[in-house]
Amino acid sequence: MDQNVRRRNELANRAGIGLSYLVTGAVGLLLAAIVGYLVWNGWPRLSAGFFLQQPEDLGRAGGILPVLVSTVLLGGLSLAIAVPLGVCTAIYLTEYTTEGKLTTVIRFGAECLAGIPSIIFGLFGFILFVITLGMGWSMLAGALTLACMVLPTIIRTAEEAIKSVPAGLRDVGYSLGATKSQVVWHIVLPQARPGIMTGVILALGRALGETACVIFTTGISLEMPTSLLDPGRPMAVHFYILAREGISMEMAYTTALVLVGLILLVNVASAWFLAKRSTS
Amino acid sequence: MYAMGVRYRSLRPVRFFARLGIAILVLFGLVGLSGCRGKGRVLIVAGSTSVQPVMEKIAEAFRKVKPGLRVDIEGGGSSAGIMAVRAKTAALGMSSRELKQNDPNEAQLWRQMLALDAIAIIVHPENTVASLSLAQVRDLFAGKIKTWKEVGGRDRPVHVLVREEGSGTRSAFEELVMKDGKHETPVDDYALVQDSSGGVREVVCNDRDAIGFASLGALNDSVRAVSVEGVTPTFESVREGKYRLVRPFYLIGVEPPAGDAADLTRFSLGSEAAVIMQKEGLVGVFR
Amino acid sequence: MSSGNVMAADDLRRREEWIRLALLCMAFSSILVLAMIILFVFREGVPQIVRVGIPEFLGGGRWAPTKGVFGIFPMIVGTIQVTLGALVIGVPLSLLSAICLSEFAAPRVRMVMKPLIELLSAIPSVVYGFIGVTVIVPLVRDTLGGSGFSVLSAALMLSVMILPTVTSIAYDALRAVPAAYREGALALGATPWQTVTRVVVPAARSGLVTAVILGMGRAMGETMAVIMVAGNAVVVPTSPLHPCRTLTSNIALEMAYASGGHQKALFATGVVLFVMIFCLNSIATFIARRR
Repeated sequence: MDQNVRRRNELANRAGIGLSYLVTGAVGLLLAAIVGYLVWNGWPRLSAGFFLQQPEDLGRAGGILPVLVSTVLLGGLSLAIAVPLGVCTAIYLTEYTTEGKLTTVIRFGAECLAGIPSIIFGLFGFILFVITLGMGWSMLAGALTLACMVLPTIIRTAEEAIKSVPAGLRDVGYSLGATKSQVVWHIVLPQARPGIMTGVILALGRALGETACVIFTTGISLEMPTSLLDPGRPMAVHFYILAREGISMEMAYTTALVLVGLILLVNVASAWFLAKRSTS
Repeated sequence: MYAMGVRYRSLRPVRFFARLGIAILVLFGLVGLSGCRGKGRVLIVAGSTSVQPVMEKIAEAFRKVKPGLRVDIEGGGSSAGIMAVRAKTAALGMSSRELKQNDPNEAQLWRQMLALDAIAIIVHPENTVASLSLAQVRDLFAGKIKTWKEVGGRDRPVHVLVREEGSGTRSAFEELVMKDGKHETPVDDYALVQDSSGGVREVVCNDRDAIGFASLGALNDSVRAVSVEGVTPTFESVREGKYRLVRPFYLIGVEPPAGDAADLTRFSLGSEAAVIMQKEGLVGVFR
Repeated sequence: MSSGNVMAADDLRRREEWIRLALLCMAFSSILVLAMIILFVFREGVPQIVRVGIPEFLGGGRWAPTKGVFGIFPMIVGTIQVTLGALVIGVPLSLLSAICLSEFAAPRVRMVMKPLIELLSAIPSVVYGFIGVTVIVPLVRDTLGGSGFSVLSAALMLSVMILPTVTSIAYDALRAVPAAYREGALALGATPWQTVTRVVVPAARSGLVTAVILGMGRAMGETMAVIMVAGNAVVVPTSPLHPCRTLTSNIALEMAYASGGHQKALFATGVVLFVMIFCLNSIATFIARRR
């Protein structure tokens, strides 16, 4: 190869790698700054009491116990509905059907729905679950609406994860005499699990960060939800109301910090779970 | 490994789905059971986000008088409140606008005026302008006055803030300020729109050149209300009728309320509620 | 081999059929749900578009719903500008970060960055909105003039918001490219950078396009945060410093108070949004498939 060409390639190589490092560093700094801002504003009010007490004076004092419970209930329930539904749909679309007009249409529908503003899901949920089906402002209505909202994302990312499992692995399974469901369950899904988990975590982040959609379906009550048909206020909504109405910026940022911490906890738990599974 | 153990290991997917199905059935069972809990009365009030803050405070006080009753105040806007009341999802509704008389859905509803809410014109505390005439306010919000110098302030551009179309506060503002007899001057197209009185206040308190309008109850020390036609909006000037930019807050229902809803209505018109409303800058109807 | 330990072929086939049926039911119900939502939006919105007239609705420059005037052209332009801005700023940053993390970075860097990125996807959009209002808007106002509430502020904020999404999905897509591809290219004498740009990235194209599409979807669908920083004036922005209103903000701002024709017009805005996303997704998929 010509000396000049080689030198140019080397230069381009160095420049490219250097640039990507630079960008990554800058992005890292930016993200760390955002987290730092959150911690800086939210740390002062953080205490054991914050987690365990009831809110007082519309949230200016006291804690966020009912808000915490509402958040966990809402997030857990919406994922419990959306993940099995979404993953099974993805499995069916990739493994059990052939690439054709129908699957393309469905995939497209899912992608487009991922872009519809959550307020429309909120209105849909309000009219269908809250009013027509008579659930009233409730955890259930909110969870169903959120599940509808994150379903396209889960289907899409699960599909990508399943598709990226190399065909060779499937062939190994078939050649050993396994049936389709065995191949899916024992080979494809374990391989696709990390990708699916990424999609689920993203969906959880989106669901727990929703405000407008939740306000329309779960309401904004600060009382402790004692059943699935009670209204409640998850942390993102609490943050929004505290900050918007100027009730208390400090409590707002502390709430945001706890929310981020909660999602982080779920991330770590799922990573640990994945690591454990892959060694068994 | 597959020849010998196929029967047992490969049943896992089936067992998994069976368990999933049972779990879903159990979940719905729980939902159904919790639906007929019966115990513990719930009172739901829904509607205008302008009325909501004061209703929440009243409900907080009401809960102390009536323990065991659960009161939930929801938002969604005046129209959502009307829909919820008609569908019996909410016992009472809140509205910050007049009910539409030409709409059969709304004309039949029962309503009770709760309070008078003043709309204040707010600017940054460091803004030198403290007093405006109604015509000046109109021209500022229409975009005809472009610098503060024209109304006696600094030589800085005016940043206009309004609420969204359809907001009760905005339609009240347009009725009271932008309408001059029969003719209505439209609000400037370049006016910035915020989605709550609190939001307007937050922007104004950070921008020295901003002007906006907000509910009197949403104000605090971070912004200053200008006097309009020589009158500053305060509790007294509203009560005495001197400050003219006011609009009513209503409680609405399908029919006159009974039971817990009637108790809450009566409480909201009582003296304790009047004190709460005064702190929020509202003038209660009955004293 | 005793027949008691192995399932008969018939049983196996029947069980497979049950599983397939169960999966079909699940898939069908989720598709049904998605279709219901689409139908709901279209059923409310399309008649209104027809009533107002497509040219007036899409091309009309004035939005005064309380007076019966429904023109959403400024909002269409606002959405396009804000989304394009967010993608132009955010996608290169995300892709380069994903490439660096997947191909070049030491495992320790990856251990720090990956959780950081995941952490940021956990932050709710309203928090970004508030940080936008307290940090980005004054910054734009003090350095570039105007009120600070502008297309630029919204685009900057959105690009930060889509960073975690695009980066993590792009990272997964790059990681899924088999090592053999890289080894083959390097063995042929390519530099690491050439390997990445000419072999790995094209191989991961499907996943990368998904990442960008999901990021674009998030940027287009973001409501609460954009309302807080974009200014929401119904004007066609002719400079990045002008305020703007996106289609999503329009719906979110007025949905609570709208009724009758106004509400239907907002659903109609949803229809337009859906069609726009549909077209953009088609274009993106077409580009991905062509090369």
